[in-house]
Amino acid sequence: MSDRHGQLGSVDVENQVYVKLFAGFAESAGVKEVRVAVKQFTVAEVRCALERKLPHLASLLSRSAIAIDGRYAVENDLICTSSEIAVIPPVSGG
Amino acid sequence: MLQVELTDDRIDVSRVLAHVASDRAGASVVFTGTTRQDTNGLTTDWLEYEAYEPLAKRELARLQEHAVLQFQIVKCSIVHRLGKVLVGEVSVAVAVSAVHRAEAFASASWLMDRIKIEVPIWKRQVNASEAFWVHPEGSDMSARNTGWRSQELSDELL
Repeated sequence: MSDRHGQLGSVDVENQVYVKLFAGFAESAGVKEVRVAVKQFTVAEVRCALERKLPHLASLLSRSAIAIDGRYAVENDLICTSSEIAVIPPVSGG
Repeated sequence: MLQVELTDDRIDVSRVLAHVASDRAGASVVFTGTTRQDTNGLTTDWLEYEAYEPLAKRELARLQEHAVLQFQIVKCSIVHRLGKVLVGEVSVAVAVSAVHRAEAFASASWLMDRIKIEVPIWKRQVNASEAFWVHPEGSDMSARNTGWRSQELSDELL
């Protein structure tokens, strides 16, 4: 368990990515950033890894988007360990 | 011509409106969203706003660029508040200028509709007994990962 930024998780260094969390998703996770292990460097795998790490948030995750490097991603987009990954739950601005 | 701002400070609506002034425009519209006291039977003490700022700014700018194409607007300024916003305070201001009023009204309305469903900004509703983040039940952001948006917006331009 590492706590460099208060993240959750313990994974192989070469397959880990950091994911930013916001709003109710972060509140329910208890952290603003989570570290997860991925088997492939794809957006779809990030979703699967988050489901494994935070199963109680599976429903909200299913209604959330994944952003990569400040843009909404497409499911087959590739990521790397330096990518800025974020979970975007349903928005409520305005 | 197009301006976007996320701010922790009170929004100066007159400044937002002044930003869209233009000799080319025959109409200017400014919409303000404010913190409402009563929502679904609950008395709100204040709202707290959070954003994923890089993406929120990019999405706001993209919406403005789309509004230029769809409504032929002249100028647009969007300012959204972050942090704690008390009842009666302005949480968002959208100002648009256009050649004619119809385009000014329509584009401001369109922009607000889009902001509420597309831009990564979230509100936390706080009252005397509880506080909770608002994630509308009918909203499914996962569709953003399937490329639906570009098609939908392209269709609107046809």
